[in-house]
Amino acid sequence: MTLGRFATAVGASPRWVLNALARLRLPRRGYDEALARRLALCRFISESAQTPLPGALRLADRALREADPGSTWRLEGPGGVSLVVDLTRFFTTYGANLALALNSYGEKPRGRRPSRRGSAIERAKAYGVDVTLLDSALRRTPAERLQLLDENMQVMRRLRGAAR
Amino acid sequence: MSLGGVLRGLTGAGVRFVVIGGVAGVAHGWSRITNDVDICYDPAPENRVRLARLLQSWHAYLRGVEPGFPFTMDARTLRDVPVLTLVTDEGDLDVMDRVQGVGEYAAVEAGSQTIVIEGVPAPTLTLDALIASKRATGRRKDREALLELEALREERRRRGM
Repeated sequence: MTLGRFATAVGASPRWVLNALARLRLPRRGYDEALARRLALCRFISESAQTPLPGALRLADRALREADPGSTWRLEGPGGVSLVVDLTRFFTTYGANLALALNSYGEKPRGRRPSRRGSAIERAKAYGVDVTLLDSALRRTPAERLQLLDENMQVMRRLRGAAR
Repeated sequence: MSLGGVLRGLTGAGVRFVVIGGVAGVAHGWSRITNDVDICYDPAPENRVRLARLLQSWHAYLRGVEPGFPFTMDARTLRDVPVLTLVTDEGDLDVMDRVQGVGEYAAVEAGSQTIVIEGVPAPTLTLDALIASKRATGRRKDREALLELEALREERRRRGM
């Protein structure tokens, strides 16, 4: 994963991730799902229990090792202090962020923006867009366009199913 | 499993929503094939409950995430997570409570028009609002989409549409 995608999975900004990795003395490479899960739970515990990150990471590692992910994890500490972590809720939020990172995250383009000179159609043509498709699409009614889209979606679903 | 099925389900459950993303673009004439339906929903508590119940009945699960991952589809999840990318019995569905570049639900609804999709009148993001959202997202993959949508808008204006 890239840093941006990884940070999306953690549910934090790239800057927070880099600062946390430095604080936790973890390497700034090898951004994978397992590390994202650890860091996300570490953040969750740190924020909910007001615990510094290194202590929160130790608790996160213990919870991931010992607890049932579909349960509430309770840790009794000295002096009657207890920590309760709703792991079901954590995994739901973390899973949603992970899905977002996997499906929707896109890197921002670097370098200069495309020129704004000329008409929008000329700019699209210069970029390599097939603008002749506009004509055939606009000849159809919205209902016809969406009917065609629906048929294409069905074909793609069948193809995906066949490829599994 | 159909676009009409998704929209009939949402409308039948009384969910307040606006169709956004690729499906909205195709409604306006964008020549693009999309796999999923994107909607922006009203995050009012009772609407969240209706949407969550419908998604539960469609066995909504996180798209691309390994099966068996602990996941609870309820109104609290919708409250905690502003964007969900889901696979459901009715197909792939992305739900969000705001649209980047347009705003929160009230602004999205204000920037929509009703289009009949497979017999279902559905509030659909206008082309101008769709362009604003693609511009705001600013991802590499949106750059080409933005050029196509701006060309589409120009061609529609030229034709007086």
